[in-house]
Amino acid sequence: MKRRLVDLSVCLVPIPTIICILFWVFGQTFFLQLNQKYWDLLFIDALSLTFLIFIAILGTIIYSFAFRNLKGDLHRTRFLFFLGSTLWVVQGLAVCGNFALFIVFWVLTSFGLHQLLQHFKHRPGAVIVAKEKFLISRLGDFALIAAGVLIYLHFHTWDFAEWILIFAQDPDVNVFPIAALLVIGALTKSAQVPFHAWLPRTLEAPTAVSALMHAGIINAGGYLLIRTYSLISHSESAMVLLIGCGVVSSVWGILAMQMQADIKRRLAWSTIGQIGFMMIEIGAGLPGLALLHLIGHGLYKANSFLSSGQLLAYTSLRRIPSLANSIAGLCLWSLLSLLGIVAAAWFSPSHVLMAYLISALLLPLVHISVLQTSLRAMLKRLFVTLFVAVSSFIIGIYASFWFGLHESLPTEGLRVAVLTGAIVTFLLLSLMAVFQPLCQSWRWYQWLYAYGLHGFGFGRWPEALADRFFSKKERHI
Amino acid sequence: MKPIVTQVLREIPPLWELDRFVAVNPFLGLSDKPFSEALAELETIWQRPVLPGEDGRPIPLEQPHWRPDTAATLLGPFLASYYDKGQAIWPAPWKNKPLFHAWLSSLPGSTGLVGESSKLLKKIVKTLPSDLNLVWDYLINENKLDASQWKRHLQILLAELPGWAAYLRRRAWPEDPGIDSELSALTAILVILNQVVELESKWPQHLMPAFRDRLKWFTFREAGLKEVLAKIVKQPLEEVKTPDVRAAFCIDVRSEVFRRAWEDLSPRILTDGFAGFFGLPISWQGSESTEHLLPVLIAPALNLKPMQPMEKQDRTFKSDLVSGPQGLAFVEVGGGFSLLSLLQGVKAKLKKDPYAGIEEAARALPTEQKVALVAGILKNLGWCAPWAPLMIFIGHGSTSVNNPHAAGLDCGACGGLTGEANARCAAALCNDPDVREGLRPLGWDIPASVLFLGGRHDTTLDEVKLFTSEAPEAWKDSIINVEAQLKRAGAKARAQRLILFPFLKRSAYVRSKDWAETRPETALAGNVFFIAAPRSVTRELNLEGKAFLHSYQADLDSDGSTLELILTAPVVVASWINLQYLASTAAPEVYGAGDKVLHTIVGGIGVSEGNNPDLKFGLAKQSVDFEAYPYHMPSRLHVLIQASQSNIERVLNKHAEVKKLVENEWIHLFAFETGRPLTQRTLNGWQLVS
Repeated sequence: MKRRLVDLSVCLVPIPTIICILFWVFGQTFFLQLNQKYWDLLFIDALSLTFLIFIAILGTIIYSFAFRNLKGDLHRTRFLFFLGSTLWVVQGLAVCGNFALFIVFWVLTSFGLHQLLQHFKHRPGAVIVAKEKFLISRLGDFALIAAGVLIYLHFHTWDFAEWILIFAQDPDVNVFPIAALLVIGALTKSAQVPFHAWLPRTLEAPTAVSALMHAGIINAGGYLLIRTYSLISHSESAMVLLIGCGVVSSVWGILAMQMQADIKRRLAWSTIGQIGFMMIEIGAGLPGLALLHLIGHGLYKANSFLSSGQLLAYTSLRRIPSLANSIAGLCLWSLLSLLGIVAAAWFSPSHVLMAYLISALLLPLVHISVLQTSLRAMLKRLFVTLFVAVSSFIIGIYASFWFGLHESLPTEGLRVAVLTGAIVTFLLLSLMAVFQPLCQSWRWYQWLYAYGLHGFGFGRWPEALADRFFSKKERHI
Repeated sequence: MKPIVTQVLREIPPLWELDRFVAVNPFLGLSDKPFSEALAELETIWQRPVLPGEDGRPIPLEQPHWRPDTAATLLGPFLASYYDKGQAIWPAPWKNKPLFHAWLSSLPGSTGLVGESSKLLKKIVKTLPSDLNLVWDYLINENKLDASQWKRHLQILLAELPGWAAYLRRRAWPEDPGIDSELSALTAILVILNQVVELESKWPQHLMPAFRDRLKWFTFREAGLKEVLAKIVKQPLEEVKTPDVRAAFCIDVRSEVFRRAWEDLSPRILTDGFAGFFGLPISWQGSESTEHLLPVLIAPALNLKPMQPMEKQDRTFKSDLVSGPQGLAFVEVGGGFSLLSLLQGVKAKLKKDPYAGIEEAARALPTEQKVALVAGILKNLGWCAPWAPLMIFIGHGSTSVNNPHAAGLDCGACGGLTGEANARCAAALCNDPDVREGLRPLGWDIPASVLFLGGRHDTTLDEVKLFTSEAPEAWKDSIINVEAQLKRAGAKARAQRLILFPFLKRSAYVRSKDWAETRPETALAGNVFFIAAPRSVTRELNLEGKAFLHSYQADLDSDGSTLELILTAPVVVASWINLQYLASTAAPEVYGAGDKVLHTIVGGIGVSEGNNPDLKFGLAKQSVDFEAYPYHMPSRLHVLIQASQSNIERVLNKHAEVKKLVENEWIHLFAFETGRPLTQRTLNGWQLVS
């Protein structure tokens, strides 16, 4: 009997989402007698519905994977319980309309994940990472609680919907402390530099936990920023902070990712880079694009983790380009991006920075296309390059509008300067990706690579802290 | 002192790449010593119990306290990048240097050390000579240790990084690793690092039964197995007169279940067991690499090539899109497509026939060579008149998705590849009119009414696929008939397996396609017997997939050469498999591959578990137990041969390595002759089994 219930439990995962959708569709007719007070706890709009459905689909897939993957594990039922409840909490996080409730869900997510990370309790490595994550999460909780207090002092309400109205009346209110705290909270949740070190070490948990974490929970930081975008976008300094951390994390993650010969570790570093890029998008005033990035990345990363057992996919040798190859690639890219940027500037002049950014990112792909020996492989890659460039530009322009988010593109000042810096940084990163095969024997490259193997060695402080902090306490017990 | 070093290195067992999985005897370097002595010594090296407790379950252990720097974290990432087969997107810049120099140029970053210890390492490295030989001189001079201390020191250091050490041992295989080998370089690096960081892990002391007691329990549990052997000896001999079909399977224990299911359908079906490469020492120039289709203990003698070179697949496309800066832009618009893959799971790729044209390639060999090969196969199989109209060679493979250990489920006799190619080649050669002509003077008169076929037994699905594309029209009906029989036998075998392993529950067809499945099949779990006798001896017995069945007819083997072959090759391979299972179940902490849900593929070479960057060898927890109930009980291989003691003794005297296996009790060897009682070969000669 108990087994049967466990078998059916996968159907329970998307229930909060289904309830919310029913509320949204039939709320007007059937649930009107409900007190308005309870209604306000939910905030159903295009943004939360999109995130909710994303979590529900992803959660169901991950749950059903874990269900079969952990067959034969003594503690499977406990694991599934915590996985399911964490998924419920994340769905609650997506749909709640009240910041105090949001914090509660936020903390609960972290506790659920703590249990999942410690599934193999007998493994010292698993326990130490869970503790490390625990410490960093509490730091984020403090930031968020402080933000909550400040918000209440400022606006006298925790209701997301009401803030927007308040801002509409008084756009000049100083919100920097609140925005900065929210940004810090998001950075801890999303494993951004300097709070990133625990993420690549969470491989001591089952694959399904990695999939959930990288696709769902890490995104909560990004979701928080998109949800409170109307607030944080009022603070130019907070946005600059966000872009700064985003650029550092992004470059850090991408560099370390290229050097990992271990598939799950590579995926973990890639997450840090990808989420960093999402932070840049939010900072650049494109929350809609960031939401799409969050969903696209979540789906891609969950799939990559769950299918990481395919051996053949990882033993392909890459062609080593010559200097002439690289120059040819560079020329083709210059031509294409010139055309692209001119077209973009004509189509939507206010988004031209985005066009620069996209073209900087796509340089390695154009270069790889040039390297191909067969015409078919080359055209395949060039076509994808074109598809990515055009569609991400168009999505970038319209996405915020689709989700009913207000866009705040920078036109002048510090943010434009920082964004330009980001574009230059990405261009340098791309150039490095192109010319890296040619600098194999250079001392600085070997030095960089050696440090990159361990993620540039900045990861020790939380580990050591967790070891010291917790082992003493345990001795007393 | 250097001979001590190389002696320690020789004791390391090799570890093969994932796609060329070989079940390795983890006690390989120690078979010179008696079983009990070797295990007692290993327990002092690992500082953990190797023999199980009273109930046959491994003794539960408390892990040592967490440390930031272990041998694995200091060296694992560097070794992975150095030996990477194309998994890292940027290749390591020191790949073209020898291991020791590569390590030096990766310092200090690649160790991940910071602060004082990093500085100390730099200082030590500066004083080192550049030649590995001189480095050893230097290290031996500096560490004032006597021979036995050195040996123990090195053994303990290597036990901190056993996976990578084993992989490096395989790179030198089959040669012994010398002082200038990569494994020696790794050992030197460990010695150097040990001067900076204390590498030896401190295992907490735990109470456990004395080794002597555990050995007693272990041998006591094995004693019960002799009863099964006694039952076999008492079987009456029944000859199948004129079989309709005669098929040779691999000796693999999984074949036993299928063979029994098939033979139950009709008394006119006769199956034989033989090493799954059917005695064809071939390698095949495949689309990706050269595949050695034979046991690792033998070197390939014939290289077959397809008429047109096979096309290489473009596999870099996906990683080109999602890696590096372009990945940031790509997942935004392309990530959504992953939803489709998420909903489907990983799908098995429908590959084009990987061995297309292998028959032609085999037929293109010179006639004398072909005749010699076929004569060898027929003699060792004991195949002679009366011939069945259909003679089938059946190799085996497996089906699973998203499984890094997939090659481990394929034929162990063929280096982690399927036995399909060998079966097809053998059939093609036997059907060759030139070959049949050449065989006639040698005593094999195969009539034209006999057709040989190749087949593939899928051990996950228990399905046999026959390769009939070259079969003449005249045999069409009988082939259809046999295929229908095989289908029924498959259904029976699947049902049998669910009885043997009830926890599998779901249908094999579901398991083989499920990307979340960790037990697509139970592989060789349960193996404990090796029986070399005519099939009629075991035909009426249900051996529950526990026996390697090799067909052997002593009366057809007057010169004893087949017996010699059986004892030196299949028995040794089976004992490797058996001892791998024994080690992985008796001491999973030391010799097991850990938990499959924590595995991550490293460098396309192997898997590591969780955060520990050392490679894992042996069998995963999922391959040997379910909810902490083992479905393989550790016990040594019981070899039973129907032959005279004197013939067996002659082989043992000729091959010291087999004699060592028997006398040092790594395997138990039994012999019987028709109508005579069962005897066991012990250290003191042959003894009656009561």
